[in-house]
Amino acid sequence: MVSPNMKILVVDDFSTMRRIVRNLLKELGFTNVQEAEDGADALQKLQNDDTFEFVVSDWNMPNMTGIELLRNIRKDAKLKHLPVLMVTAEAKRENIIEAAQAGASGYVVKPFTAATLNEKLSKIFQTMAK
Amino acid sequence: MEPTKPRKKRTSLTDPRVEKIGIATAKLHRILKELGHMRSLEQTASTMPDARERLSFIDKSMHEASEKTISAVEVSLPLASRNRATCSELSMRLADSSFSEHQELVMETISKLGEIAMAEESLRHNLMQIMEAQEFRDVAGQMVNKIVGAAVEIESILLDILKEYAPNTKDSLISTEGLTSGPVHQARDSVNGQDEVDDLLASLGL
Repeated sequence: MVSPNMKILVVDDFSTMRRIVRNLLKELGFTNVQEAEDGADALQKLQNDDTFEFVVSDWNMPNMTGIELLRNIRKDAKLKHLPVLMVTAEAKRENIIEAAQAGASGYVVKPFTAATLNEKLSKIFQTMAK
Repeated sequence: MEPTKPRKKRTSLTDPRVEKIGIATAKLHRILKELGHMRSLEQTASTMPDARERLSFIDKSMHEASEKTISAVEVSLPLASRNRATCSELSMRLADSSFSEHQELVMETISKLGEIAMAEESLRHNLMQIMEAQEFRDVAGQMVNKIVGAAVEIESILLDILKEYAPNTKDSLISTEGLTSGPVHQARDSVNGQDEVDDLLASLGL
C-alpha cells in the first residue's frame, strides 16, 4: 500500500503547471509535494535530500531537460531506484521511445486529467510492489 | 538579369533546405540593394519589437489569468468538501434523532441536505475541471515563446541586412530572454492522446 505521505518532487519550468500537478496529486491524497523549476534544480534537490520517493517531471525545460534529469537519476547509485513519471507535451513517438529507453517509469501526455494521473501512478505502484 | 555567381565553394550543405534559404537570402540582399528598399525593410524590422511586446503581453495575461483561477479554485475546493461533510453529518444526526413535532419539516431538511451534499460534489468536480483546463497555459505559453523567438530571429536577420546596406540604421534592442522551444504542434510522427502513448509504451514493455 502506498503511503499518502510519500514525498513527491514535481519538476516543471511553468509555475502554473507545478500548481496544477500539485493540486491533482492532492486530490489523489498525496500532500507531501515539493517543487523544482528545472532538471538541474531537481537533481540538486534529490541529491541533497534522500527522502524523496517519487519524481513527476516535464520534458522541455531550460538548464536541464526532463530526459537529461531522468538519465542523471538512473546513473546515480543513490537515486536510480526512484520512479520517474514523465508528464509532458512532447507527443512524438521518438520522445516516448527515448524516455522508455532512458528508464522512465511512465509517460503522460498533456493535457491530462487527475484520472489519467491516478491511473499511471497506480500502475507504477503496482510494478514497484512486485 | 544574370544570376550572381556563387562565391567560394563552401563546405557542402547536406540539408537542401538550408541551401535554399541561403540562396533566398543572397537574392534578397541583391534585390534590396538594387531597389533601394532599405526604408521599408527598416520599417519591417521596427515592427518586430512591437510584435514581440504584444505576444509577451498575451503570455503575461494568460499567466495571470491562470494563476488567479487556480488560486480561486484552491480556496473553493476545501469549502465545497467541508459543506458536503457538514450536510452529511447534519442529515445523519437529524435522521437518528426522534422528533415529536415538525416531523415533516425534519424529513424535508434531511432530503434537502442530501441534495446540497450532492450539488457540492458536482461543484467540486467542476472546480477540478476548471483547474485542469488551466493546463492550456503550458503549451500555449510555449507556442507564444516560440513565435517570439521567431520574431527575434527575423528581426536580427533584417537588422544584419540593414547594417550591411544601410549602416545608418539604428540598432534596436534585441532581447533573447525567455526563449524556449515549444512542442511541435501535431508533427507528423506524433501520437494522438494518452491511449496511443499507452499502446506505444506497452509495445516497449512498459
